[in-house]
Amino acid sequence: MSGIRRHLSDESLMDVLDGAGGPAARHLASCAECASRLAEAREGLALTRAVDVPEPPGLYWQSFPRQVARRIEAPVANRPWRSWVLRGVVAGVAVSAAAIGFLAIPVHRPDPQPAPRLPAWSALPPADEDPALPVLQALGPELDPALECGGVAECLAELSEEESQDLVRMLRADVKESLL
Amino acid sequence: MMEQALSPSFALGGAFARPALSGLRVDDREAVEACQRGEREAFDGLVERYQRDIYRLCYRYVNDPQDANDIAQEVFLKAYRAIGKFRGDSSFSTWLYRIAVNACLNFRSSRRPAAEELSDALQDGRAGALATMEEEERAKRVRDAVGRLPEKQRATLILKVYHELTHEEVAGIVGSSVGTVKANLFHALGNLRKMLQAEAGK
Repeated sequence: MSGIRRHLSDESLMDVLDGAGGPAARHLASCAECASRLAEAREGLALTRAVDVPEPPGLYWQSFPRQVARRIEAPVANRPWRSWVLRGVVAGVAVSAAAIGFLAIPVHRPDPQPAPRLPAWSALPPADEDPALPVLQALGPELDPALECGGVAECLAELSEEESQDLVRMLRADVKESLL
Repeated sequence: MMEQALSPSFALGGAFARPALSGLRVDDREAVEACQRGEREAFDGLVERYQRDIYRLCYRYVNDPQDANDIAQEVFLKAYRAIGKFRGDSSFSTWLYRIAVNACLNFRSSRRPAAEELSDALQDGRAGALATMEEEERAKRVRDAVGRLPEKQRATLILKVYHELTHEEVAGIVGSSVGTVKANLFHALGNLRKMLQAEAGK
């Protein structure tokens, strides 16, 4: 005799799943419904546990604390450079580009200036060959208030390695999407 | 003698037994106190100690390595800025997890659905972790199913199953009672199994 005649609560079933014995565990021997619910949860647990988070590349864990330290030590004024803002900017660029059909409109380039300087890390194509950058430049005046920096070119030059990679990747994806 | 790790989970066996890890640790306390004295470098040790846990927690929420990286950095940044207010009412890890869960929830609510595509930069790591396409597909189904759980169920499941926190710790992080945490977790596991079964039957 289990001593418990009603069905077990979720909390009690969780206790049993945690390994608790006692009346709740004994109840399961005589209650198919509770036993079935417990079996479902146990199966769900096994399925969940079987999935791990993909491990980042080897050097990731060494570089992560440095990235955090750099952001901590960065002047407050640089905070808008967080990728959250960049993502918003990229989304805005993509939407604007799609809306005005940017391929049909000549891209306005400001006064001849050196091409935006990307950090030396980049294994990607040169900046002036990247189709996303003219879009950014063309929309520079609109973006400046959001970016709170001297201009798009200056801002691009100040990006960290990770931010630059992230930005280029997102720009490519979003511009490609807007062209479809 | 200084306080050693609080680890109520030692008393718990069964499905959620875990090794000693989180809780109030002597080295955490020393690092926190140093940070509160203005020794910035002391924070590096805390980042190194918890970066994996926080990154993985974020990954579980957003299913994207770049986003997980962004959010994890943001979590540590927020923690550093708020560390002066940390009084040790909970363990440092619980406090940090709370910041992380909030950051993940904010991120999800402000963002389009998680991207399916992996970034090139992190693809190698994933390829090494999952041996076959079948495993990959199964893992994706589970992650997607976890992502469809209601917020509290998802938070509870992630913290409990993947981070092996105690029910009490999870309760402190998500702001629920221990009983609610247990019920939420039980629901989450049942829901997850049903979702996956329904998909398999399609």
